[in-house]
Amino acid sequence: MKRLLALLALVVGARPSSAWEAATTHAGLTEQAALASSLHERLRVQFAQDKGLFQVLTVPPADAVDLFVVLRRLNPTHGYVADNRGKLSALGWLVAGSVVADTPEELAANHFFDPTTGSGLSSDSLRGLLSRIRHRVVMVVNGAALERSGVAAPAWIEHPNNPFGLAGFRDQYMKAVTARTAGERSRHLAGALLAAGAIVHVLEDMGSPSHARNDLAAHLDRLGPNPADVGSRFERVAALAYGRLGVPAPAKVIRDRPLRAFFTAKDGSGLADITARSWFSEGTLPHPLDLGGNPRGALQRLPRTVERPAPVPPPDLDLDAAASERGGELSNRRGACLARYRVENRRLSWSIDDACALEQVSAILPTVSGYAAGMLDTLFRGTLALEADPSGGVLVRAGEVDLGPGTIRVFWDDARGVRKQLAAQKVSGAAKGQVASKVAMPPAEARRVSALFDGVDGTRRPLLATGTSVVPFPGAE
Amino acid sequence: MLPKRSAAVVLILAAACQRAQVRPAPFRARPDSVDPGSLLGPFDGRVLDGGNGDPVTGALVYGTWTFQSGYGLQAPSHVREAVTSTDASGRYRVPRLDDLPGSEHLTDFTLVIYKRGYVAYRSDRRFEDLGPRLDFAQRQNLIKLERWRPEYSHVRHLRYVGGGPAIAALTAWETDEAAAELSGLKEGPRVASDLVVSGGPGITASQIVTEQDIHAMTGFDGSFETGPLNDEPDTDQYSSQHFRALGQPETFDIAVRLWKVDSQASRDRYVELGESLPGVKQTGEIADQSFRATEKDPKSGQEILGVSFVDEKRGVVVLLTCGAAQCKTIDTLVAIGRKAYDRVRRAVPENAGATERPEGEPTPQPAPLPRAVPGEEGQPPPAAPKPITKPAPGQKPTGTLPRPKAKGGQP
Repeated sequence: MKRLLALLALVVGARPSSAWEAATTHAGLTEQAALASSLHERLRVQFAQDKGLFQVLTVPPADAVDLFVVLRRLNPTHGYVADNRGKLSALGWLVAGSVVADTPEELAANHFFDPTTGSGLSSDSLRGLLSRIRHRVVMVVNGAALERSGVAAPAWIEHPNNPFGLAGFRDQYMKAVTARTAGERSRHLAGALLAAGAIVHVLEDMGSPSHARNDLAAHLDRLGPNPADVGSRFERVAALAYGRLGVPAPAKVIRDRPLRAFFTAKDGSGLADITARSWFSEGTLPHPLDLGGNPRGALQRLPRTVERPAPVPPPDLDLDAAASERGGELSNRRGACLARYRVENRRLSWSIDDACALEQVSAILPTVSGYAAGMLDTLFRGTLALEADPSGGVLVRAGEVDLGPGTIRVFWDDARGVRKQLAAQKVSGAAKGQVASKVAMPPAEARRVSALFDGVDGTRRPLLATGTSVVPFPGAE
Repeated sequence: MLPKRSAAVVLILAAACQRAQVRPAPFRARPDSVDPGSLLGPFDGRVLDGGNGDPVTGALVYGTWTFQSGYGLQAPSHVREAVTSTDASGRYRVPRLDDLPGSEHLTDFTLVIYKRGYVAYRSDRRFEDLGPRLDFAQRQNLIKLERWRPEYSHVRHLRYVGGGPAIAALTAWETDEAAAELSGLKEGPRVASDLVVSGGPGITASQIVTEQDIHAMTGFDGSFETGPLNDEPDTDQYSSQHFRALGQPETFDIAVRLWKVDSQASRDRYVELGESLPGVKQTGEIADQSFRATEKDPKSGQEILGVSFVDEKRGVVVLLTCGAAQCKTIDTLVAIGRKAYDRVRRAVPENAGATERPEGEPTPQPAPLPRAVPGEEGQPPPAAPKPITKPAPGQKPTGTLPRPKAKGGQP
């Protein structure tokens, strides 16, 4: 911790971020999430990508000109920039998605969500006269505008204006199975991973207190010598302390649940729910309190100094420590710093300094990567198993998720990898491991069969599922 | 209040007159200096072999500058690169960045050094613990490259070294190794302390699957109480290990059973397992033969997943069972199985199952087959209390706990 603080101290002014810093913290969170999730095995088994997360997937730059314009702005040493031929590992594409989700910058305004109101970023988010004046001045000086409203994060991942939303993910996922050539399927799988990374990015932002408390003012910290160089100091502390590589692995991978429930749930178990009630952000700290001549009595009014139900400072603050130069520290049950407080001229005020922010970041990041891993598992949860029917034909079984109504399409590949549709059937559903569909055997020249399910799962949640097998089937005569 | 705010506005306006776009550098100007360096450069230094101090010649030197733009909500906007290599004396030099883009902020400089046969070097992070590197200096930087060791993780190294066309081409050979490692096909400890195999003919179940494996592959962050299962005592031919998740239902438990017999007996045992366990599907994913099995626990309603494999030449059969709350998917258990098999291969000689016996001596019979879901009628009584390898929360490390009771959900 001391070394990290020393490092922070080296930086006279910290540096910026739009949320968690995309190039470092988001990249690290998404990498850790991918490694903790089942994605490697899914890519190997369901998509026949033998190297899983390390399979090189190619997106020809000419096919995605805008994307490559953005990718070429990124630092290649972090492993998420495709080469000049558009080659990058599956893990690299996923992480690239989580890095470019903030591009262009105005998209980042859609990465806020206040679970207490259900709203995204709004004009009310810039709290305080000083923040508004500062914003106005810097805007005039630089001609730069800060987006002040956006779609709530859980809605953004499904929003039609989101270039990397669920619709894009589904489209690319399906094409990764159905496209005619191996090259096309590789390109679309990269696209699906890119979209998945961007979706995960939006969820990861819910671990940042300013994002879960709709606090735009926290993004107006001066971070460098240039006055327009402003952003969230808290998130910059995370980037400096952990970078990409130091982001911790998940404390616990959150299990399959509806996508929105990763953000917010009735039982308060969504990431935004947890963040919003557990931490202050710089612009949502308790208001200063005039202690007057009866400090202990005045502290009973502390609940009135906060705008949200939680956290609420207790009335037994250490006023002796508060009067010292360092001030007192308000901690949570695990000892992580929530805020520092000081009393000067009988006035109680609150702040989050770098050391306090670092403790918060250390506590938050493992939770965030756990939610991100769970989201990845959910996005790729659908599996199918294909096998030979002893009486002839191909059996398609539901994998690890119950299938509800939907359509199963079965494809076969020839020796060159050219894929053709073998059959399409509407299915009413199948429990895990049960036969969902039976189709005729593919032609003799078939080398592989694959299947795609598009429908809902047993709980009526949208589901894509896929599976593949070489032919002749392993173990079959 | 108002004067303070006015003062703030004045200060902001005053600062706005500056034209600085380069952020402070998080590294020193020289190793022996306390002055901060400059992100602009130039950068120079020397690369030596960490073992013998010899210069490392021809190492790739890859410098990148990162720019960001935007106000309040910023995003990467630009990157510049410099690629060079070390000379005969191991020296490198990256020239100063002179032409800056107009309105962007120079936020980072990163230096990566790579040469095959060595662990890569990054100016921002250390390889050993991925912590921030504090000894990088802009000038006269001294880099001691550590030689690559076979037990190092390629997954970790590929993450560490990152990418870029030049580096990606040089590290392409590592992707096969990394993929195999992630699938459990190849040993790849994330840290040196993860090396557990001492092996030999006396290999036990506790050596082929470790708590670290389970944490890494299932994402479970809790603790385990470990010890043998209750179904059969450990012998020369049979060994078991029960990972009982503390404070969790039995569906978080994992069990490992290992038989070490001869080729024929191992084949028989494997067939016997396949015939006796429910929901068996032959998959051939691990070793000579393997299968997956599933059964729904009547008590919890959750599934118990099973994976078994046999290596006939080594005379080894392994059965892994895992509750569905711990192993979210059977793929996870398969990955654990692959890791276990890798340790078996390293610890047991390939011909260990081809034991020649004196004429007339009967083929040893493997230990009786345990129940797939112990705890029902006929379950042997719990054994005497036995020391545990890891204390329960709140318990002293030297304490003891009753041996795990065989219950319906014990996988």
